Amino acid sequence: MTLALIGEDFVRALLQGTPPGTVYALIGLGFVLTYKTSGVFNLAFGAQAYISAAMFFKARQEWGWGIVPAVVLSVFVIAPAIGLTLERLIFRNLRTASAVSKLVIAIGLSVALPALFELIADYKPVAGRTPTGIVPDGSSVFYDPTGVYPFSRDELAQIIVAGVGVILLGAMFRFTSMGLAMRGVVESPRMTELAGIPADRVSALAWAISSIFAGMAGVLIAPRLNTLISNDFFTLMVLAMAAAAVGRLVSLPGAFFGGMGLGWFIAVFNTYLPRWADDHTWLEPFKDNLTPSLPFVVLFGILVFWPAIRRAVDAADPLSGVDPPPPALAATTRHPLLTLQTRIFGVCFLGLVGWLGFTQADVRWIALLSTATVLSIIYLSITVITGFAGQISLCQGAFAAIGAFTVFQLVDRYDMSALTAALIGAAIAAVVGAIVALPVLKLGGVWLAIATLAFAFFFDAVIVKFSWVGGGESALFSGTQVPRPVIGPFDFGESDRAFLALAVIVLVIVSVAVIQLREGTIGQSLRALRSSEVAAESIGISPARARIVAFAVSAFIAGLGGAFLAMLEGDVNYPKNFSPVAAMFWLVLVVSLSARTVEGAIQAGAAFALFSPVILEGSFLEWLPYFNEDNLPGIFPISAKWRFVLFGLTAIQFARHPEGMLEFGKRRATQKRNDRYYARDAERAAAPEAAT
Amino acid sequence: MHRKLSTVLALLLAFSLLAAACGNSGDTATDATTTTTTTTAAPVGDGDGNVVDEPVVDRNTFVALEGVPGVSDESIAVAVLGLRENNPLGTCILDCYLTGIEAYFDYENSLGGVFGRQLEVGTALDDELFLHQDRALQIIADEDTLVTFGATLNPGGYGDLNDAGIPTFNWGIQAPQNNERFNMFPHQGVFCVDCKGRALPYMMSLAEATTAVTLGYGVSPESQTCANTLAAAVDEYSGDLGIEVAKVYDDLEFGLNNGIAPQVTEWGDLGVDFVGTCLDLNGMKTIAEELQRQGLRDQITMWHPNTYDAGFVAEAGSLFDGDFVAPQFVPFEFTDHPQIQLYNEWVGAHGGQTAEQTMVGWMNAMLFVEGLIATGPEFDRPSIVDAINTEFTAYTYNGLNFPLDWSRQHVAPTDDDRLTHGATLECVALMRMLDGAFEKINDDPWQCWPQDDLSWQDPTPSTFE
Repeated sequence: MTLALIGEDFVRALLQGTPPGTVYALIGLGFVLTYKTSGVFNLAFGAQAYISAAMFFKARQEWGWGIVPAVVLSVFVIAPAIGLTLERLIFRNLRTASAVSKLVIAIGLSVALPALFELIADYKPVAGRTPTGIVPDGSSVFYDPTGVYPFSRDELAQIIVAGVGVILLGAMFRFTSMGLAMRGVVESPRMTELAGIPADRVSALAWAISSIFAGMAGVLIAPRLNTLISNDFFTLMVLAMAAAAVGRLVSLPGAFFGGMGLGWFIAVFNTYLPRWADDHTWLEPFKDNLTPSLPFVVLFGILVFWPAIRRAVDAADPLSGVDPPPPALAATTRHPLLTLQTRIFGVCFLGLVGWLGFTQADVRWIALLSTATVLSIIYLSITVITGFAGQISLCQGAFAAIGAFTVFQLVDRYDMSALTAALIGAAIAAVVGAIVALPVLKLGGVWLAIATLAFAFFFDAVIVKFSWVGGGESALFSGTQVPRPVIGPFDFGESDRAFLALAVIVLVIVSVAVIQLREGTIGQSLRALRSSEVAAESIGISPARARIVAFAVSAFIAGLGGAFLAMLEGDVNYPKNFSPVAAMFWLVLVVSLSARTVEGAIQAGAAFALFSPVILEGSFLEWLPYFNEDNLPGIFPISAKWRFVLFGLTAIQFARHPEGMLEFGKRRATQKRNDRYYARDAERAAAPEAAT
Repeated sequence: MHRKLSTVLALLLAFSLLAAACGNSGDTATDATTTTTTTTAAPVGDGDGNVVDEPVVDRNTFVALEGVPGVSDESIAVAVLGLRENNPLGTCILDCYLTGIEAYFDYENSLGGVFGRQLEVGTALDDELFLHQDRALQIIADEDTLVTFGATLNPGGYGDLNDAGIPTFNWGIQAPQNNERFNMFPHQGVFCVDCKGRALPYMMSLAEATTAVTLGYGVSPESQTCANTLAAAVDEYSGDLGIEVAKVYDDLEFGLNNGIAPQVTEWGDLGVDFVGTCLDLNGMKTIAEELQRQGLRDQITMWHPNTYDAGFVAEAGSLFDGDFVAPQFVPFEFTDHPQIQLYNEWVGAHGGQTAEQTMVGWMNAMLFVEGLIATGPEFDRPSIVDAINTEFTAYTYNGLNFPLDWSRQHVAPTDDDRLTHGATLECVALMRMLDGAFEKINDDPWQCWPQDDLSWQDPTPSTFE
């Protein structure tokens, strides 16, 4: 088949899609490599790649090092050191944990690692300081063997490394005993150790290799970015998920061709569709909306329509059997007296906070308390979908945004009451939640998380820009302003305290509803499904129905919370409040603290809104007698980057306490007293018998 | 189960009934954003607001004031709220902006301060990209600064500052957050988002270009609208200048992660020789590199809306040769301009760097100080706002900008009505890039067109010194 037959445009499009395709392939290979060798869907891959790229940049462009020592430092020293540290401190204890648990920790690391690096290395991105590659004059010397489209030296280096990487890594897994051992350790460390293979050493080596690959990918990709910022690596990583999906997270050639195919597909799409849309106007909306969202549409399509994905199962230790049911909630095993004491303490504590909030707090602290309250409502949606149903949804931000945008639109267009609009928004979110649940029902574990993330990014790239959602041109003049409601004599726009009271009332209502749901048939069904789907089905529980209900209820709560967040801030503030990345924060925070309880969601809301002002800014010291704003220790306010580092540490704690840090802490804190009370009861019961 | 479900439904029903019986805050209230007062300001100035040139009020008059936030007998403290950490563009915003304000305060303090008091930055807060509203509320709660200065990408707190009656001088790149807020002072007034300006057609004529494409990001309504507005402007004057728009790309993926190769190839096929964009500076570099790769760099001239960044352009070398930039003030390269000289002197003395944000901070600080002086020694927040909004009707920042009328320019003009709320002149300060630096294209910094006559005409070279 000659070039003339295929068409020069098509060939050019393929060539033009090759450089971005190679980037996706490198990242896709990284995903597969880490997953095959550790069972982790490593969303921190972008962070690892960024650190090596930034280290290389610093060594080359700030310290003036040569290419070879800079590569040695960034790729062969720093990268494996990070990998080995992560393996030793975190993932070694998680080998048999669920893929979802590992995913949550990886999300935390994706945020924490770049911040920690920037703090330690004192690295700060500067606009326009474009990284150089690993070959001299990499971006300025071009080769054009086809005469159709030239490649730069940097791009050729990317292509060569990706191609050689897929061959060598493939050969390692297929033909070497080490590759077999790596796969074996992921499948079952206990079985491999029975066979005399040192699982710890193999696992460490696997992490070192995958981290070196991440570092190399970062250094190779960096010259494509005009300014070296960690966010761009995260974005590229999200775009490249489609490549990993093509490889079903286990096939290196699949990921390689998935990445290249994605690059080619986008280039061909951008070559032909605009032309066709010029001739056929009905194609115009497809062009407008698909252009910015194509990777996410491709990813969602692969996950939903490719049967191989539905058949894929998470790596699991065959010796571990079915997952044991989660331990009973600490509150359910408490002695009645301890429960009474806890409730009294809780009421007193809340009363104190309430009194301080409603009488002492200034406008900022009232806003912070209101934010904590409203976020708690949203986080209860995660309690339902993740805590009760055991499903990881990364699109709760989109559901919350639906509620917020609905209020904006209904008030703006029809002057509807904001409170009524909030309920309608929540109902619309519930419908959308159910619709999203339908195609992803068959997906489990990490695939469901990826599918919901793809939906969140699709919502972000396409849905929000529709004028009937984000306001379109009218929002250019007035933003997406949302008023607060008026109920009878109470104007919640006039009084911030009144709005806080309203938010607290709504939180109480939603909390009661969530508790009722947990104790009701739906909650019991979800709990049964979470413990054993097969067993649950055998007693007549429909997983599909239960999950659709869970998604719908969860989306309703998120939508309601989103509407209240918009009312609180007076604007939807979509990028700040509801972006996919923000929603990932939410999930990690809630599951790290406690996803199964109402108080876990409330504590997560409080942590999100109040941790920074109270702790990092040093306000807790200002409340003490000696300190005031002017004599705080010099470390305050602590750098914002530490917030991301601490967030990552919180997520890492999830590895040790899958039921949540707070739930674990609650159990441990009350254990002794609980035992004492029960022992005393036993003694009292025994005493009359002895007397008798 | 039914009991539980009934409880949930009952809660929902109760909430619904409550919701149905309510309205929205502000339905019947008067416009809360209008906080101008009828306080009579001290008679001052020439109507241009250029009180530094012709001071009428003795700026050294001291009157003891009580209950004015941020004002003591010795000093006047202001708050600065901007973006430092998590800036997705990697540009210098808060630090440069702060430098401009402090340098201007240094200058004013060297003249003895204002009304017997030294000017100082009392609070400088980093909004960390998404904490703007929280920081704004902190400023409101602390109540220890007189006015606020702002420079950020995501200004969620401007509404709160405005509603609290705090005069807020800011980097005015966001029209919605400034629109109809009369305590807000964006450095060039509230701009028109859909006005078919003459700058792009003029640049095309300078570049002797005939065929343009315009570019915007699909995820940003502002960027999309901007791309379509640029195209409409070219269409508007196509008959006069023999120019046309070949295509509008208002759907580009943010960040151009997939590159822009197919589109650039299409430009070559379409005979495009000019690219008007509404993109960030990193996106512009990606496009320029792709043009260079495909051998179209010499054939196509570009307009960069956000690339007046000396460091960025210097790093790019000759990549942007021949392209246009349009600074939002008299460009630094007009070194004979007295205000540029003053700026260079004081920013240099302060140890700061020459940057767009530094100049915006300088201009914001200048408007505040001149507004303060115009108010007179018995000032407070409402009277400062009142003085600026009533007296500064042809304000040019002492020649750094084209004239602004603060009695009208708090509301976004529209393409159908540019005069009611817009500037009387449409002006652009054009520069071209060559060898990693900026070059003047005219001896006068500004090229201006009248807003009351939208027919095509060559611009009038102008200076507002």
